[in-house]
Amino acid sequence: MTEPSPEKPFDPFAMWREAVSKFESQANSSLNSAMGSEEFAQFMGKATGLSLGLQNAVNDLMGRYLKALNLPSREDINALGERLQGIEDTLARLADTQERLERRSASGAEVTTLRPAKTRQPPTPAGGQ
Amino acid sequence: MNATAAADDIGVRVRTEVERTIQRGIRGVEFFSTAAPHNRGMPREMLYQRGTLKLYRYKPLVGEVYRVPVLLIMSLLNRPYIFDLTPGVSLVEFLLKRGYEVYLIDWGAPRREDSRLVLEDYALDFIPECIRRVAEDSGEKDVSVLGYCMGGILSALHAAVRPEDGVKNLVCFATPINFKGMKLFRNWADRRHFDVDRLVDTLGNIPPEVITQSMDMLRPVSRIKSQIDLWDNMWNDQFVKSYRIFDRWASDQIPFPGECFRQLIKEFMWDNKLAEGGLKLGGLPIDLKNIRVPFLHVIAEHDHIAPSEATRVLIDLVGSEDKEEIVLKGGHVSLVAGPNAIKRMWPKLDQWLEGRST
Repeated sequence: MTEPSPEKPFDPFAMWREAVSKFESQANSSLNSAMGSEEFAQFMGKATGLSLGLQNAVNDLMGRYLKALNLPSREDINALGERLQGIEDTLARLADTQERLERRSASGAEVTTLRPAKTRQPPTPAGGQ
Repeated sequence: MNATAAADDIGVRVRTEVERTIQRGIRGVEFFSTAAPHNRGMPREMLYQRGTLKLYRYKPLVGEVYRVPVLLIMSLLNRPYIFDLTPGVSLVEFLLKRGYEVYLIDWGAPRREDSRLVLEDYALDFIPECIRRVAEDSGEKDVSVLGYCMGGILSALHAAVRPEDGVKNLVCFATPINFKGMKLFRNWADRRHFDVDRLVDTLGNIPPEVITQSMDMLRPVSRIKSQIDLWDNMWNDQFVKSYRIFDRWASDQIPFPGECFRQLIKEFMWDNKLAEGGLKLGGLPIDLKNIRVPFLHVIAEHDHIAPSEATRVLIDLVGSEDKEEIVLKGGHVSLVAGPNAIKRMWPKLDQWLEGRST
């Protein structure tokens, strides 16, 4: 056990916190070494492959099921989503064009009063060094 | 006498701990029964929208600003409100108060159909379009671009290919370039074991959980430790508030566009083309030497996501004569937000930008 010193009084709570931090650092380091190995990469690759295989099989099965029930599949919904996005983009472009035309028709004086003056100078010499 | 003082001291510590334990119980109930605080960002208006992309202009806070506006570009992996967490912990607020006009690109969460987006779309189409919009809105022909993490990669790619677009200054924060330096990520994405084609073909976009888990695996015990820290500091309102704000942001991951991920793994992670050469975007060869504008790279000393082995090469690769690299204490996130950033990075950034923004 550490002897209490006049500079650093004995504090069991601080010691506990220090121990937890030390454990974190050591555990991270050990686990990182393990995760940096080729075996781990191989394991991760296999686990990902298995998970994707399972997901593909479920997607396939679900697709067939939905088709049998005459319901839209994910692809059908995605296709609809893409068409909707196309409409959204067109609307955004139209709104944008209109806004720009409105801005152009607004007087320059009106615009400048809304924005701060761009005359600020740095307190230090140019280059900031 | 010394023994008495030590006993008194222990008594005080024990009493404090007992009080804190009671507070932890009370505040703990409050913590679990309330939602994380919502982000109260600085007032802004949307200038442009395209798909999930939104370009914002923040309302100025001072009457006189520098001529050159600032455009913030976030990574594709996270939400951009790390730049604007809450008043007092907001880089945006800091820049506005220091007299910059601030714009921000929010990529949004990619939809299923956005899985086709590639780096070319971001670096050679979206960013130039946003810069054009900023120029149109601000009435200035040039802009300072600030990119964080992968936002830094996109900004650098853009600046290397389109020098005519009006980037006056380029600032990158924690931007990985040499992917050989990202040892764990590189091991997990080993081409002999990791089938990126199958992953992207099956999933489309890479789900946010995959990204979060990968990040957590870099420091597998740290999440548990952070929860212990939270419990330990539950009596401290300021700590809990800050924890919740950051935790909310860290948990608020977005999907990663699938094709872009495929490109990132093959071209960057496997072939390391960004650092070693040979990268082409839209048929155009990428050479970071073509970046000739004033350049600043800010790196965090203890960054475990973009470690210095991955980031430090950037300064040598850019062709600018006026270039600087700053290494600051802190980690990947604390570099840009939080007390560390407020004390270290923000003032440095302002100091570097102010003389180059007139």
